[in-house]
Amino acid sequence: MIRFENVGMRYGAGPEVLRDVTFQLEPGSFSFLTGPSGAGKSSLLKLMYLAHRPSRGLVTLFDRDTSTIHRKALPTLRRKIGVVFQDFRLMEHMSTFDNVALPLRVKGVSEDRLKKHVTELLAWVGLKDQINAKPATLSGGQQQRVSIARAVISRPKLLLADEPTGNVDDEIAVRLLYLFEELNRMGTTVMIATHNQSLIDRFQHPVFHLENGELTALDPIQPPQPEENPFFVNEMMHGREEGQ
Amino acid sequence: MIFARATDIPLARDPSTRLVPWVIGFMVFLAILAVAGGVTLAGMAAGWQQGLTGSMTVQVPPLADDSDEETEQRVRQALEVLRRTRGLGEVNLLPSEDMVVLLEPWLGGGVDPDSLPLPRLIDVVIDDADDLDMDDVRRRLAAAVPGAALDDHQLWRERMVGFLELLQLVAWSVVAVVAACAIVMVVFATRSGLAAHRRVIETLHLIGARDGYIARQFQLHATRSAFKGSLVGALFGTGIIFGLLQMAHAMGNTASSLAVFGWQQWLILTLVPILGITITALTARVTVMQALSRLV
Repeated sequence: MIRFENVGMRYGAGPEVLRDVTFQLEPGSFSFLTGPSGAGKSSLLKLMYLAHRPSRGLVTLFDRDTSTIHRKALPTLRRKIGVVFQDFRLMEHMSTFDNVALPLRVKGVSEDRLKKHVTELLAWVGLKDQINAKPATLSGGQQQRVSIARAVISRPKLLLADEPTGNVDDEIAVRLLYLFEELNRMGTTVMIATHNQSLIDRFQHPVFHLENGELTALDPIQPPQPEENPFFVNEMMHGREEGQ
Repeated sequence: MIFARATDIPLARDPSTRLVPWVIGFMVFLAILAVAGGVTLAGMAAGWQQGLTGSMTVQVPPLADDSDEETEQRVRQALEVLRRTRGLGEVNLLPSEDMVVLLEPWLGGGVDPDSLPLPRLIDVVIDDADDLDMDDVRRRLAAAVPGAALDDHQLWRERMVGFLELLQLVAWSVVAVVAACAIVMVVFATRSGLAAHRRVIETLHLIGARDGYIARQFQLHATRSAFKGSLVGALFGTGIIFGLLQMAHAMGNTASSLAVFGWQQWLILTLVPILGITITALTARVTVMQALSRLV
């Protein structure tokens, strides 16, 4: 599904932030991307969600070489990718509903169909009561769930999350990881960038380690074998409102 | 449908775009005045050209030793030559009373035409200009009535039409400048909007929005703004034109050339706001598409 071969990346004329990165993600896999701050985790994810093109090397996404693909074809690829941004990137002027509906509207899904899907998903992530709320009125955890809902509403083939547990407490972080595992079980390939070592230790998934822009350690990729989920997703989402 | 849902980019909140309807309104107002001037001048020029090419004047001056009887004889000969000429219609000798009216602005009232050696004027209507050989008419007139002069108004007409065309050029230049200013202003406002909402646009871009989808948001906003502004500008502009036409009619003959303003001219004026809206929408779209093409 995703293959990096000797990939280098730089911002403008600056130094390379990624150097000779080579790895492969199999369809349906679940993996962590870790490393210290500034190691290049976000840059690697940016290449994967097509916010940047590599300065050198080969990035193959859904069997297409992203360095040669025509610009007009990129939106179609982007629609197969769900991204949970580190800073959520929610539209401040939009309600929870509109934020989550955005990827479907961009795809041209009719309002009738879209309404059903968004309402169901918001209920699933426990935000049914916040359907008309603006992001500014939501807690950090709620905003995170809106961001996740927006990332998965169009059933992406690839889900990328950049420090998704960065501003929630440990218990909520664990619950979010179970949610990602749930999505992974439904067939979505998942990669999570984090430097939360306790989470990485707790969940048994392959780990990619970046250091100074280089992939220094690569756990053998194994088929995903998630541990028994002690929480049901609904229980997780409805059980506790963080920060309240 | 196109106005059905709020746009994904909150452009209506931008201070820079709030001025757009006002500026477009002012531009449409100016353009309407300039276009009205242009089409009026075009109508006047066409009218004058048509009216003057359709007629000519023959002067028969009294010769130094001629008696009144001999002058009348020369006038009759001129009338005969003209009436026998192919391509000419009505040939009328201007009555003495009309001569007095024509001279009134220069000599004042109460002038006795018989006390002055005035030339006799013959008004000739050209029926078919293609059938008429102007050189032949001059030659035959000179042979039959020595001293008679034929004036087809060509020199005067050319100067007047040239002047009117120059005024038209000024009017159309004003329209072009107004359109250029509107385009520059829309480009500036759109770029401000792009800068102000860079993050929202990037997010839309990253979740798979095509350039056209994002550009449509700006285009819709620009269309709405231009519609409001154009409506107000057009109402004020056409109101002023209507008022001027009423005044022109009230002023009578001296301004009657303004009465060339017919339904065709009004139709042209209604195209001005439509054109304003179209230019605004297209400019916004092209500006956004150009800016987005620089994104990955």
